[in-house]
Amino acid sequence: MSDFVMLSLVPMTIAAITCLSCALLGNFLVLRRQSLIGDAISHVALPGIVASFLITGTLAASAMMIGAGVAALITVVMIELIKRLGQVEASAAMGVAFTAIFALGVLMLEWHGASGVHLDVEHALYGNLESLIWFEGLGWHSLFDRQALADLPPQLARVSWVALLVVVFLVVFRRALVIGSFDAEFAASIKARPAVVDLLLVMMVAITAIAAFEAAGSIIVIAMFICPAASARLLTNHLGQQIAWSQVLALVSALLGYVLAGYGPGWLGLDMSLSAAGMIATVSGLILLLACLFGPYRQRDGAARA
Amino acid sequence: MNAALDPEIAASPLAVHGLTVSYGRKPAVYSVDFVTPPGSMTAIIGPNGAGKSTLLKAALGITRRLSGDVRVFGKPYAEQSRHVAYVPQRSSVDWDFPATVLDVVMMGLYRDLRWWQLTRRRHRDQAMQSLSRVGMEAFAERQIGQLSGGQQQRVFLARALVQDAELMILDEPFAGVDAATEKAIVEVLKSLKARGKTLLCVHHDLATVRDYFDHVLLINVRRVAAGPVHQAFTSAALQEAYGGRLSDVQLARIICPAAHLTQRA
Repeated sequence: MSDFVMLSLVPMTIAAITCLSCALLGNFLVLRRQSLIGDAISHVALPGIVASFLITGTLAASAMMIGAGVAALITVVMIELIKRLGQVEASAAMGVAFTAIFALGVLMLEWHGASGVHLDVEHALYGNLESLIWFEGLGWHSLFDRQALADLPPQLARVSWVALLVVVFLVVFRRALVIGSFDAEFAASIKARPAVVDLLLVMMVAITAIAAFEAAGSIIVIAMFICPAASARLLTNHLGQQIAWSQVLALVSALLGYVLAGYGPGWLGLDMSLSAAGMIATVSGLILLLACLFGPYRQRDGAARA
Repeated sequence: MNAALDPEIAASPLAVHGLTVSYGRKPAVYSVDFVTPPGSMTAIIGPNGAGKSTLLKAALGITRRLSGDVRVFGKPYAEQSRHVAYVPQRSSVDWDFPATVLDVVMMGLYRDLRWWQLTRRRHRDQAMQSLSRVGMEAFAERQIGQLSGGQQQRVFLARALVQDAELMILDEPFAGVDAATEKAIVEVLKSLKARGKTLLCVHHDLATVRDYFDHVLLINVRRVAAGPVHQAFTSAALQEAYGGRLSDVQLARIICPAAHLTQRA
Protein backbone atom coordinates (compact mmCIF):
# COMPACT_ATOMS: atom_id res chain seq x y z
CA MET A 1 0.00 0.00 0.00
CA SER A 2 2.92 2.33 0.58
CA ASP A 3 3.59 1.81 -3.12
CA PHE A 4 0.27 3.37 -3.86
CA VAL A 5 1.03 6.53 -1.93
CA MET A 6 4.42 6.90 -3.53
CA LEU A 7 3.56 6.00 -7.10
CA SER A 8 -0.13 6.57 -7.65
CA LEU A 9 -1.62 8.99 -5.15
CA VAL A 10 -0.14 12.15 -6.63
CA PRO A 11 -0.72 11.33 -10.31
CA MET A 12 -4.26 10.28 -9.53
CA THR A 13 -4.97 13.45 -7.59
CA ILE A 14 -3.44 15.59 -10.32
CA ALA A 15 -5.48 13.77 -12.95
CA ALA A 16 -8.65 14.22 -10.91
CA ILE A 17 -8.09 17.94 -10.25
CA THR A 18 -7.17 18.55 -13.88
CA CYS A 19 -10.23 16.71 -15.12
CA LEU A 20 -12.53 18.55 -12.73
CA SER A 21 -11.31 22.02 -13.63
CA CYS A 22 -11.27 21.35 -17.38
CA ALA A 23 -14.77 19.87 -17.24
CA LEU A 24 -16.05 22.84 -15.26
CA LEU A 25 -14.96 25.29 -17.97
CA GLY A 26 -15.97 22.80 -20.62
CA ASN A 27 -19.63 23.29 -19.70
CA PHE A 28 -19.53 26.82 -21.04
CA LEU A 29 -17.42 25.94 -24.07
CA VAL A 30 -19.94 23.27 -25.06
CA LEU A 31 -22.90 25.62 -24.55
CA ARG A 32 -21.21 28.30 -26.62
CA ARG A 33 -20.23 25.76 -29.29
CA GLN A 34 -16.64 26.76 -28.69
CA SER A 35 -15.31 23.36 -27.65
CA LEU A 36 -12.59 23.50 -30.25
CA ILE A 37 -10.89 26.40 -28.47
CA GLY A 38 -9.60 24.02 -25.78
CA ASP A 39 -8.20 21.81 -28.50
CA ALA A 40 -6.60 24.79 -30.19
CA ILE A 41 -4.97 26.14 -27.05
CA SER A 42 -3.56 22.83 -25.93
CA HIS A 43 -2.06 22.24 -29.37
CA VAL A 44 -0.36 25.59 -29.60
CA ALA A 45 1.22 25.09 -26.19
CA LEU A 46 3.81 22.90 -27.95
CA PRO A 47 5.26 25.60 -30.23
CA GLY A 48 5.06 28.00 -27.29
CA ILE A 49 7.15 25.72 -25.14
CA VAL A 50 9.65 25.02 -27.91
CA ALA A 51 10.00 28.73 -28.61
CA SER A 52 10.55 29.52 -24.95
CA PHE A 53 13.19 26.78 -24.81
CA LEU A 54 14.93 28.16 -27.89
CA ILE A 55 14.94 31.66 -26.43
CA THR A 56 15.75 31.00 -22.78
CA GLY A 57 17.57 27.69 -23.11
CA THR A 58 15.92 26.32 -19.96
CA LEU A 59 13.17 23.86 -19.29
CA ALA A 60 12.04 25.67 -16.15
CA ALA A 61 8.31 25.34 -15.66
CA SER A 62 7.80 29.09 -15.44
CA ALA A 63 9.51 29.74 -18.77
CA MET A 64 7.53 26.97 -20.42
CA MET A 65 4.26 28.24 -19.08
CA ILE A 66 4.97 31.79 -20.19
CA GLY A 67 5.86 30.49 -23.64
CA ALA A 68 2.65 28.50 -23.83
CA GLY A 69 0.67 31.48 -22.59
CA VAL A 70 2.12 33.77 -25.25
CA ALA A 71 1.39 31.17 -27.91
CA ALA A 72 -2.19 30.88 -26.67
CA LEU A 73 -2.57 34.64 -26.82
CA ILE A 74 -1.20 34.78 -30.37
CA THR A 75 -3.58 31.99 -31.38
CA VAL A 76 -6.62 33.72 -29.92
CA VAL A 77 -5.71 36.93 -31.75
CA MET A 78 -5.07 34.98 -34.96
CA ILE A 79 -8.43 33.19 -34.69
CA GLU A 80 -10.19 36.50 -34.22
CA LEU A 81 -8.36 38.03 -37.20
CA ILE A 82 -9.11 35.11 -39.51
CA LYS A 83 -12.74 35.20 -38.42
CA ARG A 84 -13.10 38.92 -39.13
CA LEU A 85 -10.97 39.27 -42.25
CA GLY A 86 -11.88 35.96 -43.85
CA GLN A 87 -15.51 36.20 -42.73
CA VAL A 88 -15.57 32.51 -41.84
CA GLU A 89 -17.11 30.88 -38.82
CA ALA A 90 -15.20 30.54 -35.58
CA SER A 91 -14.54 26.80 -35.80
CA ALA A 92 -12.99 27.12 -39.26
CA ALA A 93 -10.75 29.93 -38.04
CA MET A 94 -9.71 27.84 -35.01
CA GLY A 95 -8.98 24.83 -37.21
CA VAL A 96 -6.73 26.83 -39.50
CA ALA A 97 -4.95 28.69 -36.70
CA PHE A 98 -4.10 25.84 -34.39
CA THR A 99 -3.04 23.27 -36.98
CA ALA A 100 -0.74 25.80 -38.61
CA ILE A 101 0.84 26.85 -35.34
CA PHE A 102 1.12 23.29 -34.08
CA ALA A 103 2.82 22.25 -37.33
CA LEU A 104 5.22 25.13 -36.91
CA GLY A 105 6.02 23.82 -33.44
CA VAL A 106 6.83 20.35 -34.76
CA LEU A 107 9.19 21.84 -37.36
CA MET A 108 10.86 24.07 -34.77
CA LEU A 109 11.40 21.05 -32.56
CA GLU A 110 12.99 18.92 -35.29
CA TRP A 111 15.01 21.71 -36.81
CA HIS A 112 16.60 22.57 -33.53
CA GLY A 113 17.17 18.97 -32.62
CA ALA A 114 15.78 19.57 -29.17
CA SER A 115 14.90 15.89 -29.08
CA GLY A 116 18.05 15.38 -27.03
CA VAL A 117 16.36 17.25 -24.25
CA HIS A 118 13.34 15.72 -22.57
CA LEU A 119 10.93 17.51 -24.81
CA ASP A 120 9.17 15.57 -27.48
CA VAL A 121 5.87 15.40 -29.24
CA GLU A 122 4.82 12.25 -27.46
CA HIS A 123 5.42 13.79 -24.08
CA ALA A 124 3.44 16.81 -25.14
CA LEU A 125 0.49 14.75 -26.29
CA TYR A 126 0.24 11.98 -23.74
CA GLY A 127 1.69 13.79 -20.79
CA ASN A 128 3.71 12.10 -18.16
CA LEU A 129 1.39 11.48 -15.28
CA GLU A 130 3.19 8.31 -14.24
CA SER A 131 6.45 10.17 -13.72
CA LEU A 132 5.02 12.37 -10.97
CA ILE A 133 6.33 10.19 -8.20
CA TRP A 134 6.25 11.29 -4.56
CA PHE A 135 9.55 9.88 -3.39
CA GLU A 136 9.03 10.83 0.23
CA GLY A 137 5.53 9.41 0.26
CA LEU A 138 6.32 6.27 2.19
CA GLY A 139 2.80 5.63 3.41
CA TRP A 140 -0.39 7.38 4.43
CA HIS A 141 1.38 8.83 7.46
CA SER A 142 3.45 10.93 5.06
CA LEU A 143 0.40 13.06 4.44
CA PHE A 144 0.97 14.49 7.92
CA ASP A 145 4.71 14.76 7.59
CA ARG A 146 5.77 18.29 6.82
CA GLN A 147 9.06 17.24 5.30
CA ALA A 148 7.49 14.63 3.06
CA LEU A 149 4.83 17.10 1.94
CA ALA A 150 7.53 19.54 0.89
CA ASP A 151 8.72 16.91 -1.56
CA LEU A 152 5.39 16.68 -3.38
CA PRO A 153 5.76 17.26 -7.12
CA PRO A 154 5.24 21.00 -7.79
CA GLN A 155 2.65 20.17 -10.46
CA LEU A 156 0.19 19.25 -7.72
CA ALA A 157 0.24 22.71 -6.19
CA ARG A 158 0.11 24.27 -9.62
CA VAL A 159 -3.00 22.44 -10.83
CA SER A 160 -4.65 23.01 -7.45
CA TRP A 161 -4.13 26.77 -7.65
CA VAL A 162 -5.48 26.80 -11.17
CA ALA A 163 -8.51 24.77 -10.10
CA LEU A 164 -9.18 27.27 -7.33
CA LEU A 165 -8.85 30.12 -9.82
CA VAL A 166 -11.35 28.43 -12.13
CA VAL A 167 -13.85 28.02 -9.29
CA VAL A 168 -13.48 31.65 -8.23
CA PHE A 169 -13.88 32.81 -11.84
CA LEU A 170 -17.05 30.80 -12.29
CA VAL A 171 -18.57 31.93 -9.00
CA VAL A 172 -17.88 35.60 -9.63
CA PHE A 173 -18.95 35.61 -13.27
CA ARG A 174 -21.64 32.93 -13.15
CA ARG A 175 -24.55 35.17 -14.13
CA ALA A 176 -22.65 37.11 -16.78
CA LEU A 177 -21.35 33.83 -18.23
CA VAL A 178 -24.78 32.27 -18.43
CA ILE A 179 -26.45 35.36 -19.90
CA GLY A 180 -23.62 35.91 -22.36
CA SER A 181 -23.72 32.27 -23.44
CA PHE A 182 -27.48 32.30 -23.95
CA ASP A 183 -28.05 35.74 -25.41
CA ALA A 184 -24.96 37.84 -26.08
CA GLU A 185 -26.92 40.77 -27.52
CA PHE A 186 -29.13 41.05 -24.47
CA ALA A 187 -26.04 40.72 -22.30
CA ALA A 188 -24.46 43.66 -24.11
CA SER A 189 -27.61 45.74 -23.68
CA ILE A 190 -27.59 45.30 -19.89
CA LYS A 191 -23.85 45.95 -19.74
CA ALA A 192 -23.01 42.42 -18.65
CA ARG A 193 -19.95 42.88 -20.93
CA PRO A 194 -20.17 39.64 -22.92
CA ALA A 195 -17.02 40.42 -24.89
CA VAL A 196 -14.95 40.85 -21.72
CA VAL A 197 -16.41 37.72 -20.13
CA ASP A 198 -15.75 35.84 -23.37
CA LEU A 199 -12.11 36.90 -23.30
CA LEU A 200 -11.78 35.98 -19.61
CA LEU A 201 -13.24 32.56 -20.33
CA VAL A 202 -10.73 31.96 -23.10
CA MET A 203 -7.93 33.14 -20.80
CA MET A 204 -9.09 30.75 -18.07
CA VAL A 205 -9.18 27.96 -20.63
CA ALA A 206 -5.63 28.83 -21.65
CA ILE A 207 -4.34 28.92 -18.07
CA THR A 208 -6.04 25.64 -17.22
CA ALA A 209 -4.89 23.96 -20.40
CA ILE A 210 -1.29 25.02 -19.90
CA ALA A 211 -1.12 23.95 -16.26
CA ALA A 212 -2.75 20.65 -17.11
CA PHE A 213 -0.68 20.18 -20.22
CA GLU A 214 2.53 20.30 -18.29
CA ALA A 215 1.28 17.86 -15.67
CA ALA A 216 -0.92 15.52 -17.60
CA GLY A 217 -0.53 16.11 -21.35
CA SER A 218 -2.82 17.77 -23.83
CA ILE A 219 -4.85 14.69 -24.71
CA ILE A 220 -6.50 14.82 -21.28
CA VAL A 221 -7.15 18.52 -21.66
CA ILE A 222 -8.83 18.18 -25.03
CA ALA A 223 -10.99 15.29 -23.86
CA MET A 224 -11.95 16.92 -20.58
CA PHE A 225 -12.98 20.24 -22.11
CA ILE A 226 -15.52 18.39 -24.23
CA CYS A 227 -16.54 14.92 -23.09
CA PRO A 228 -17.86 15.33 -19.51
CA ALA A 229 -19.81 18.50 -20.31
CA ALA A 230 -21.19 17.12 -23.57
CA SER A 231 -22.23 13.89 -21.81
CA ALA A 232 -23.78 15.85 -18.94
CA ARG A 233 -25.80 17.95 -21.42
CA LEU A 234 -27.44 14.73 -22.62
CA LEU A 235 -28.37 13.72 -19.07
CA THR A 236 -30.26 16.84 -18.02
CA ASN A 237 -31.96 19.99 -19.28
CA HIS A 238 -30.90 22.03 -16.29
CA LEU A 239 -27.66 23.98 -16.22
CA GLY A 240 -26.92 23.45 -12.52
CA GLN A 241 -27.43 19.73 -12.83
CA GLN A 242 -25.40 19.66 -16.02
CA ILE A 243 -22.43 21.20 -14.21
CA ALA A 244 -22.82 18.75 -11.31
CA TRP A 245 -22.98 15.79 -13.70
CA SER A 246 -19.94 17.02 -15.61
CA GLN A 247 -17.98 16.99 -12.36
CA VAL A 248 -19.10 13.49 -11.44
CA LEU A 249 -18.28 12.17 -14.91
CA ALA A 250 -14.89 13.91 -14.93
CA LEU A 251 -14.00 12.37 -11.58
CA VAL A 252 -15.12 8.92 -12.69
CA SER A 253 -13.10 9.22 -15.91
CA ALA A 254 -9.99 10.30 -14.01
CA LEU A 255 -10.07 7.60 -11.34
CA LEU A 256 -11.37 4.77 -13.50
CA GLY A 257 -9.02 5.69 -16.34
CA TYR A 258 -6.02 5.80 -14.07
CA VAL A 259 -6.80 2.46 -12.42
CA LEU A 260 -7.57 0.76 -15.74
CA ALA A 261 -4.34 2.01 -17.29
CA GLY A 262 -2.26 0.85 -14.36
CA TYR A 263 -3.92 -2.41 -13.46
CA GLY A 264 -6.21 -3.28 -16.39
CA PRO A 265 -3.58 -5.10 -18.46
CA GLY A 266 -2.53 -7.01 -15.33
CA TRP A 267 -6.06 -8.24 -14.84
CA LEU A 268 -5.92 -9.55 -18.41
CA GLY A 269 -2.71 -11.34 -17.54
CA LEU A 270 -0.49 -8.98 -19.50
CA ASP A 271 2.70 -7.72 -17.96
CA MET A 272 2.45 -4.09 -18.98
CA SER A 273 0.65 -0.87 -18.23
CA LEU A 274 -0.94 1.70 -20.51
CA SER A 275 -0.74 5.49 -20.65
CA ALA A 276 -2.94 6.86 -17.87
CA ALA A 277 -3.73 10.04 -19.80
CA GLY A 278 -4.76 8.05 -22.85
CA MET A 279 -6.93 5.74 -20.80
CA ILE A 280 -8.62 8.63 -18.96
CA ALA A 281 -9.46 10.30 -22.26
CA THR A 282 -10.75 6.98 -23.61
CA VAL A 283 -12.98 6.41 -20.60
CA SER A 284 -14.44 9.90 -20.94
CA GLY A 285 -15.08 9.18 -24.62
CA LEU A 286 -16.84 5.93 -23.75
CA ILE A 287 -18.99 7.76 -21.21
CA LEU A 288 -19.95 10.23 -23.93
CA LEU A 289 -20.83 7.33 -26.23
CA LEU A 290 -23.06 5.83 -23.54
CA ALA A 291 -24.71 9.21 -22.96
CA CYS A 292 -25.33 9.53 -26.71
CA LEU A 293 -26.95 6.10 -26.78
CA PHE A 294 -28.94 6.20 -23.56
CA GLY A 295 -29.06 9.82 -22.31
CA PRO A 296 -32.63 10.94 -21.60
CA TYR A 297 -32.21 14.30 -23.36
CA ARG A 298 -30.47 13.32 -26.56
CA GLN A 299 -33.38 14.52 -28.69
CA ARG A 300 -34.60 17.93 -27.76
CA ASP A 301 -37.56 19.90 -29.00
CA GLY A 302 -35.62 23.15 -29.29
CA ALA A 303 -33.10 21.68 -31.67
CA ALA A 304 -35.80 20.18 -33.85
CA ARG A 305 -37.74 23.41 -34.08
CA ALA A 306 -34.75 25.61 -34.81
CA MET B 1 -25.72 68.04 -30.66
CA ASN B 2 -25.46 69.63 -27.30
CA ALA B 3 -27.49 67.36 -25.08
CA ALA B 4 -27.14 69.51 -22.01
CA LEU B 5 -28.77 72.48 -23.69
CA ASP B 6 -31.53 70.85 -25.69
CA PRO B 7 -34.54 70.14 -23.45
CA GLU B 8 -36.07 67.81 -26.04
CA ILE B 9 -33.02 65.56 -25.99
CA ALA B 10 -32.66 65.72 -22.22
CA ALA B 11 -36.24 64.48 -21.88
CA SER B 12 -36.02 61.79 -24.57
CA PRO B 13 -35.40 58.20 -23.44
CA LEU B 14 -33.40 57.64 -26.63
CA ALA B 15 -31.99 60.29 -28.92
CA VAL B 16 -29.57 59.42 -31.70
CA HIS B 17 -27.70 61.91 -33.82
CA GLY B 18 -25.71 61.22 -36.97
CA LEU B 19 -25.65 57.50 -36.28
CA THR B 20 -23.69 55.61 -38.91
CA VAL B 21 -22.93 51.89 -38.94
CA SER B 22 -21.15 49.94 -41.61
CA TYR B 23 -20.62 46.25 -42.25
CA GLY B 24 -17.74 46.09 -44.66
CA ARG B 25 -17.69 48.95 -47.12
CA LYS B 26 -21.38 49.64 -47.48
CA PRO B 27 -23.10 51.63 -44.74
CA ALA B 28 -25.99 49.75 -43.10
CA VAL B 29 -27.22 52.87 -41.38
CA TYR B 30 -26.18 56.30 -42.58
CA SER B 31 -26.31 59.42 -40.47
CA VAL B 32 -29.69 58.82 -38.84
CA ASP B 33 -31.10 61.40 -36.43
CA PHE B 34 -34.04 60.52 -34.27
CA VAL B 35 -35.41 61.78 -30.97
CA THR B 36 -37.84 59.33 -29.37
CA PRO B 37 -40.73 61.28 -27.83
CA PRO B 38 -41.16 60.31 -24.17
CA GLY B 39 -44.26 58.21 -23.52
CA SER B 40 -44.67 57.36 -27.20
CA MET B 41 -45.10 54.06 -28.92
CA THR B 42 -42.93 54.29 -32.00
CA ALA B 43 -42.66 51.88 -34.92
CA ILE B 44 -39.42 51.66 -36.86
CA ILE B 45 -40.37 50.80 -40.40
CA GLY B 46 -38.46 50.02 -43.54
CA PRO B 47 -37.80 47.23 -46.05
CA ASN B 48 -35.53 44.24 -45.39
CA GLY B 49 -31.92 45.35 -45.09
CA ALA B 50 -32.93 48.92 -44.30
CA GLY B 51 -30.87 48.81 -41.11
CA LYS B 52 -33.71 48.83 -38.57
CA SER B 53 -32.22 46.22 -36.24
CA THR B 54 -28.75 47.57 -36.85
CA LEU B 55 -29.87 51.05 -35.83
CA LEU B 56 -31.17 49.71 -32.51
CA LYS B 57 -28.16 47.49 -31.87
CA ALA B 58 -25.80 50.39 -32.53
CA ALA B 59 -27.82 52.65 -30.24
CA LEU B 60 -27.60 50.02 -27.49
CA GLY B 61 -23.86 49.57 -27.96
CA ILE B 62 -24.23 45.97 -29.17
CA THR B 63 -22.91 46.77 -32.64
CA ARG B 64 -20.02 49.18 -33.01
CA ARG B 65 -20.99 52.46 -34.64
CA LEU B 66 -18.74 54.38 -36.98
CA SER B 67 -19.95 57.74 -35.80
CA GLY B 68 -22.85 59.41 -34.08
CA ASP B 69 -24.07 60.23 -30.64
CA VAL B 70 -26.54 58.25 -28.52
CA ARG B 71 -28.23 59.82 -25.51
CA VAL B 72 -30.60 58.36 -22.94
CA PHE B 73 -32.28 61.21 -21.05
CA GLY B 74 -29.50 63.47 -22.22
CA LYS B 75 -26.63 61.29 -21.00
CA PRO B 76 -24.51 58.64 -22.79
CA TYR B 77 -26.08 55.17 -22.99
CA ALA B 78 -23.28 53.53 -21.01
CA GLU B 79 -24.27 55.52 -17.91
CA GLN B 80 -27.99 55.14 -18.44
CA SER B 81 -28.46 51.60 -19.69
CA ARG B 82 -30.55 50.81 -16.60
CA HIS B 83 -33.38 52.83 -18.15
CA VAL B 84 -33.52 50.66 -21.26
CA ALA B 85 -34.86 47.12 -21.68
CA TYR B 86 -34.08 45.32 -24.93
CA VAL B 87 -36.04 42.46 -26.48
CA PRO B 88 -33.87 40.93 -29.21
CA GLN B 89 -35.20 38.95 -32.13
CA ARG B 90 -36.35 35.55 -31.00
CA SER B 91 -34.22 33.86 -33.64
CA SER B 92 -31.03 35.42 -32.27
CA VAL B 93 -30.62 32.91 -29.43
CA ASP B 94 -30.13 29.19 -29.01
CA TRP B 95 -33.40 27.88 -27.57
CA ASP B 96 -31.74 24.56 -26.90
CA PHE B 97 -29.91 26.19 -23.98
CA PRO B 98 -30.41 24.32 -20.69
CA ALA B 99 -32.56 26.89 -18.92
CA THR B 100 -36.10 27.10 -17.66
CA VAL B 101 -38.52 29.90 -18.45
CA LEU B 102 -37.96 31.31 -14.97
CA ASP B 103 -34.17 31.23 -15.45
CA VAL B 104 -34.50 33.34 -18.59
CA VAL B 105 -36.80 35.91 -16.96
CA MET B 106 -34.43 36.19 -14.00
CA MET B 107 -31.68 37.25 -16.41
CA GLY B 108 -33.53 40.58 -16.48
CA LEU B 109 -32.57 41.05 -12.81
CA TYR B 110 -28.84 40.92 -13.60
CA ARG B 111 -28.22 44.46 -12.42
CA ASP B 112 -29.95 43.95 -9.09
CA LEU B 113 -27.76 41.03 -8.10
CA ARG B 114 -24.09 41.38 -7.23
CA TRP B 115 -21.94 38.28 -7.59
CA TRP B 116 -21.93 37.45 -3.88
CA GLN B 117 -25.71 37.65 -3.64
CA LEU B 118 -27.87 34.59 -4.01
CA THR B 119 -31.14 34.66 -5.87
CA ARG B 120 -33.84 35.15 -3.26
CA ARG B 121 -37.55 34.57 -2.96
CA ARG B 122 -38.20 38.23 -3.70
CA HIS B 123 -36.41 37.96 -7.08
CA ARG B 124 -38.32 34.83 -7.91
CA ASP B 125 -41.59 36.59 -7.07
CA GLN B 126 -40.64 39.52 -9.27
CA ALA B 127 -39.96 37.17 -12.17
CA MET B 128 -43.20 35.26 -11.58
CA GLN B 129 -45.11 38.54 -11.58
CA SER B 130 -43.68 39.46 -14.97
CA LEU B 131 -44.54 36.02 -16.26
CA SER B 132 -48.12 36.37 -15.13
CA ARG B 133 -48.36 39.72 -16.93
CA VAL B 134 -47.69 37.91 -20.20
CA GLY B 135 -49.82 34.93 -19.20
CA MET B 136 -46.90 32.50 -18.91
CA GLU B 137 -46.77 31.82 -15.16
CA ALA B 138 -47.87 28.21 -15.70
CA PHE B 139 -44.75 27.61 -17.80
CA ALA B 140 -42.19 28.87 -15.25
CA GLU B 141 -40.44 25.52 -14.78
CA ARG B 142 -40.65 24.54 -18.45
CA GLN B 143 -37.47 24.02 -20.46
CA ILE B 144 -37.28 26.90 -22.97
CA GLY B 145 -36.77 24.53 -25.91
CA GLN B 146 -40.27 23.15 -25.38
CA LEU B 147 -42.02 26.47 -26.03
CA SER B 148 -43.77 27.55 -29.21
CA GLY B 149 -42.59 30.67 -31.02
CA GLY B 150 -45.29 32.83 -29.47
CA GLN B 151 -44.48 31.55 -25.99
CA GLN B 152 -40.77 32.24 -26.51
CA GLN B 153 -41.61 35.79 -27.51
CA ARG B 154 -43.71 36.26 -24.38
CA VAL B 155 -40.86 34.96 -22.21
CA PHE B 156 -38.57 37.55 -23.80
CA LEU B 157 -41.17 40.20 -23.08
CA ALA B 158 -41.38 39.06 -19.44
CA ARG B 159 -37.61 39.31 -19.14
CA ALA B 160 -37.82 42.93 -20.33
CA LEU B 161 -40.74 43.68 -17.99
CA VAL B 162 -38.76 42.54 -14.97
CA GLN B 163 -36.14 45.17 -15.80
CA ASP B 164 -38.76 47.84 -15.12
CA ALA B 165 -37.11 50.27 -17.53
CA GLU B 166 -38.41 53.58 -18.86
CA LEU B 167 -37.80 52.59 -22.47
CA MET B 168 -38.47 49.20 -23.98
CA ILE B 169 -36.88 48.43 -27.33
CA LEU B 170 -38.32 45.47 -29.22
CA ASP B 171 -36.92 43.94 -32.39
CA GLU B 172 -39.80 42.43 -34.39
CA PRO B 173 -41.84 41.19 -31.44
CA PHE B 174 -44.60 39.93 -33.75
CA ALA B 175 -42.41 37.88 -36.08
CA GLY B 176 -43.66 34.32 -36.29
CA VAL B 177 -46.31 34.58 -33.57
CA ASP B 178 -49.99 33.76 -34.04
CA ALA B 179 -52.78 36.34 -33.98
CA ALA B 180 -53.80 35.61 -30.39
CA THR B 181 -50.24 36.05 -29.10
CA GLU B 182 -49.84 39.22 -31.14
CA LYS B 183 -52.93 40.63 -29.50
CA ALA B 184 -51.73 39.62 -26.03
CA ILE B 185 -48.34 41.27 -26.64
CA VAL B 186 -49.96 44.46 -27.94
CA GLU B 187 -52.13 44.63 -24.81
CA VAL B 188 -49.04 44.40 -22.60
CA LEU B 189 -47.27 47.09 -24.63
CA LYS B 190 -50.27 49.39 -24.49
CA SER B 191 -50.55 48.96 -20.72
CA LEU B 192 -46.89 49.94 -20.44
CA LYS B 193 -47.58 53.03 -22.49
CA ALA B 194 -50.54 53.87 -20.25
CA ARG B 195 -48.11 53.82 -17.33
CA GLY B 196 -45.94 56.41 -19.04
CA LYS B 197 -43.26 54.09 -20.45
CA THR B 198 -41.82 54.60 -23.91
CA LEU B 199 -41.78 51.86 -26.54
CA LEU B 200 -39.66 51.59 -29.64
CA CYS B 201 -40.41 48.70 -31.90
CA VAL B 202 -39.11 47.35 -35.21
CA HIS B 203 -42.30 46.49 -37.03
CA HIS B 204 -43.02 44.76 -40.33
CA ASP B 205 -46.77 44.63 -40.77
CA LEU B 206 -47.65 47.98 -42.34
CA ALA B 207 -51.38 47.28 -42.01
CA THR B 208 -51.30 47.37 -38.21
CA VAL B 209 -49.07 50.44 -37.77
CA ARG B 210 -52.05 52.75 -37.27
CA ASP B 211 -53.69 50.45 -34.73
CA TYR B 212 -50.66 49.85 -32.58
CA PHE B 213 -48.45 52.92 -32.77
CA ASP B 214 -48.62 56.67 -32.37
CA HIS B 215 -45.24 57.57 -33.87
CA VAL B 216 -43.20 56.17 -36.74
CA LEU B 217 -39.62 56.30 -37.95
CA LEU B 218 -39.24 55.27 -41.59
CA ILE B 219 -35.74 54.36 -42.61
CA ASN B 220 -33.95 52.87 -45.53
CA VAL B 221 -30.30 53.16 -44.51
CA ARG B 222 -30.99 56.90 -44.20
CA ARG B 223 -33.88 58.43 -42.35
CA VAL B 224 -36.87 58.88 -44.67
CA ALA B 225 -39.48 60.34 -42.36
CA ALA B 226 -40.33 60.53 -38.67
CA GLY B 227 -43.11 61.93 -36.54
CA PRO B 228 -46.64 61.21 -35.39
CA VAL B 229 -48.35 58.51 -37.47
CA HIS B 230 -50.90 60.86 -39.02
CA GLN B 231 -48.14 63.18 -40.27
CA ALA B 232 -45.23 60.95 -41.16
CA PHE B 233 -46.91 57.72 -42.21
CA THR B 234 -47.85 58.85 -45.72
CA SER B 235 -47.86 57.08 -49.04
CA ALA B 236 -45.12 59.36 -50.33
CA ALA B 237 -42.86 58.50 -47.38
CA LEU B 238 -43.64 54.79 -47.71
CA GLN B 239 -42.90 54.81 -51.42
CA GLU B 240 -39.60 56.50 -50.72
CA ALA B 241 -38.67 54.03 -47.95
CA TYR B 242 -39.64 50.97 -49.98
CA GLY B 243 -38.17 52.29 -53.22
CA GLY B 244 -41.55 52.46 -54.97
CA ARG B 245 -42.18 48.74 -54.58
CA LEU B 246 -45.60 49.07 -52.96
CA SER B 247 -48.66 49.01 -55.22
CA ASP B 248 -51.43 51.62 -55.02
CA VAL B 249 -53.86 49.04 -53.66
CA GLN B 250 -51.42 48.09 -50.91
CA LEU B 251 -50.83 51.73 -50.07
CA ALA B 252 -54.53 52.52 -49.91
CA ARG B 253 -55.04 49.61 -47.55
CA ILE B 254 -52.12 50.69 -45.34
CA ILE B 255 -52.74 54.40 -45.15
CA CYS B 256 -56.51 54.24 -44.80
CA PRO B 257 -57.48 50.81 -43.48
CA ALA B 258 -60.90 52.07 -42.35
CA ALA B 259 -61.72 53.48 -45.79
CA HIS B 260 -60.65 50.23 -47.35
CA LEU B 261 -62.91 48.23 -45.08
CA THR B 262 -65.96 50.38 -45.81
CA GLN B 263 -65.15 50.19 -49.51
CA ARG B 264 -65.15 46.42 -49.34
CA ALA B 265 -68.34 46.37 -47.33
